[in-house]
Amino acid sequence: MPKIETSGKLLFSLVGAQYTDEQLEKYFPVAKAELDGHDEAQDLYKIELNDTNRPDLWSAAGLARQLRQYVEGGTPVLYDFFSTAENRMDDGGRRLIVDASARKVRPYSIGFAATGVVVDEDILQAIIQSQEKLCWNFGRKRRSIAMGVYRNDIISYPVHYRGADPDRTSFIPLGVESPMTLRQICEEHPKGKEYGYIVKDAPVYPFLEDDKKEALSFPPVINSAHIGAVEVGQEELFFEFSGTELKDIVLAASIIACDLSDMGYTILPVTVEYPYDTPLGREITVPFYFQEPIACPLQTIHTTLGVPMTGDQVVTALKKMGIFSVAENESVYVTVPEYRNDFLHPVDVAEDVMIGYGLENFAPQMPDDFTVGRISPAEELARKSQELMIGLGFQEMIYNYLGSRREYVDNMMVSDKDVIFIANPMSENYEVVRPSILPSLLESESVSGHAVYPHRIFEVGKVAYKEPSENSGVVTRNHLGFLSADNGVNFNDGLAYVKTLMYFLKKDYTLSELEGDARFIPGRCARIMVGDKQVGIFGEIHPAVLEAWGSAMPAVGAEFDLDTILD
Amino acid sequence: MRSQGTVLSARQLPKAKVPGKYFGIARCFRYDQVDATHGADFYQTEGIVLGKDVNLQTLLGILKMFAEEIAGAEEVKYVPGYFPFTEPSIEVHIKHPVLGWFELGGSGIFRPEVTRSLGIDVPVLAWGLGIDRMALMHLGLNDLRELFTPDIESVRTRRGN
Repeated sequence: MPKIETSGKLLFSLVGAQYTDEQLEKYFPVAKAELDGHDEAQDLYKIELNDTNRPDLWSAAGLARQLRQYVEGGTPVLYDFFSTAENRMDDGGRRLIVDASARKVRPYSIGFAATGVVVDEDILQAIIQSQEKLCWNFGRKRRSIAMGVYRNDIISYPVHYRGADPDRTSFIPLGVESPMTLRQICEEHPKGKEYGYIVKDAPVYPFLEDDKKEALSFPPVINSAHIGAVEVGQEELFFEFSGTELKDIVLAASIIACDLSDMGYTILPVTVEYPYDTPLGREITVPFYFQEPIACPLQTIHTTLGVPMTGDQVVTALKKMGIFSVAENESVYVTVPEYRNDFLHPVDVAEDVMIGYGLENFAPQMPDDFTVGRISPAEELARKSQELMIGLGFQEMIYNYLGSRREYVDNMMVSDKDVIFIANPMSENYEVVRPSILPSLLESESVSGHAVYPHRIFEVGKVAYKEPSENSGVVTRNHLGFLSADNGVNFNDGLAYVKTLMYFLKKDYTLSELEGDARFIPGRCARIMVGDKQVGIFGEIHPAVLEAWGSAMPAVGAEFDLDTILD
Repeated sequence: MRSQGTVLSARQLPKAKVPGKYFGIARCFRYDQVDATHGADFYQTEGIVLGKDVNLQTLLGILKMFAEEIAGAEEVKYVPGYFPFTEPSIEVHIKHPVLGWFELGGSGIFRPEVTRSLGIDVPVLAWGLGIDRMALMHLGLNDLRELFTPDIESVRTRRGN
């Protein structure tokens, strides 16, 4: 989930009000945000945004817009710089011309310019952060969306976007002193090593230059060190977005344009020309509004939220969310904000109505439908086994299912052939999924020497191990394991418990010899068979195993596969 | 190894009756730093309710039952959440006397795109809530790890609330 950082100064100047941490925590749910931290000395707020379909909220400006609208009220902001299919804004002669060769590598590039505010440290950080969050989270690590920021004052329009020969095109990228070819950048530049893979295998590489053949960038990898070097103190900016899905990059541009506008910038549209058809035509003036209005019947809101709401109530609730809508003919017609594209279905409208109306205005109720419930056969057997074990004087335990190699393999003197290891564990203490309950029970022995004996413990739980005949290559089974530890416990005690259990579980069984199982003392252990199927094993725990666990008390242990008993 | 139990509900849905109520208990696994409220593996209860008349208010009713009746929480809050498969989505948080506010889990009404493809034309409530976190409240514990303790004496002498 995206996390952002912002200075309080920027956030609250954008909101137009100052909030305490308590107020923020109270208001943040409107943006599905959480306050992760507030460093008062540095005036730094860390905020987590939970809605991965709302990239417009992943910036101080976007979050402030939502908070301001919800808390302070008023009319949602009208952004007047958007072109539509019908109404094109004046581009002032700024054009971006896409060459047919771009189609072979990264088909779409768009841009717009902004002016009117001198970039300060806060704004620069905000722009860099928006770029990172949009391109990393929403743009799949720049694969589908990449964004570059440039010095608009030294660009000679029109800007050209094309697929360029990786070996014969060179410029000085940010961070180095001398020109490099696009291929050299891919192979040697740190950003090339990080993002070069996106275009590496294409016949041509994406290249952006101005009309005087001055390089802007090698999208999605790196900007030029000249036009592409934006610093504090500058005022004229050009924003360019490249990617594989046109609507995604147009939305990203809209989000950035609205944020900049909220920060006081004047947005200067740029017209993009394509030599091929795109989902939005061959000539698009950006920022461009492409979203379709969505209708939501009042009935859908009623059935979804459980409360009948009038058209006026719905329109008011949506306004609190910053959304224009009109109610007509038992439906509400929603104008989707320029910076959002998450209204796929009327239920998406219902959720915004819910948040705008206030979750506290909905009363918890129990469902009226009467239904008959029953537990599953596996659970029935598990519960019966638990009751029997308790009846036999055993104490129920719950264990974690992840443990170490030492616990599940080494201490048990078993092979790791069928044991499931996690490839990237957080620590070696959680590296293995337990293949058996016995090591969990023995872990209790190792830490419970201070508890008065006898120790009689059991667990009904799951185990997992490799099983080539399964689709996934592994299997999870319901097991019952028990352990009895005391001076003088032996095979006969174990047998008495096994007999009692099988009697009450109504299973006829036989015992057969268990050979080569190092967990038990040879000759004092057995396999429990139902027909020709093994349903469990039990026996005296081998002193070497007990010693590995640091326990000197004799113990008998058993483990049943309840799923096999159920079959 | 699932990070949450929604798969149980997804598997039950095609066989579910209308009206119908189903639940399951699932051990879940996460790449989380283990602490008082996080385990590398933990229990969730997963449930669905299908019915013509279920809605946000019934979902809140069920969440309230878990928070108040089962966990025994006195302070409960519901906040909008986000899950790709539900809309609207709600998170429920409870206040623990020592640990403070923590999230009990997520819930919502399955998106019509999810249910309609399975031939279900009624709303379906769904939730996944941390049982261990409910147990923390219910048993008056201050650390999840105490629930899974291997220490026999500690389990013998635990009294609960």
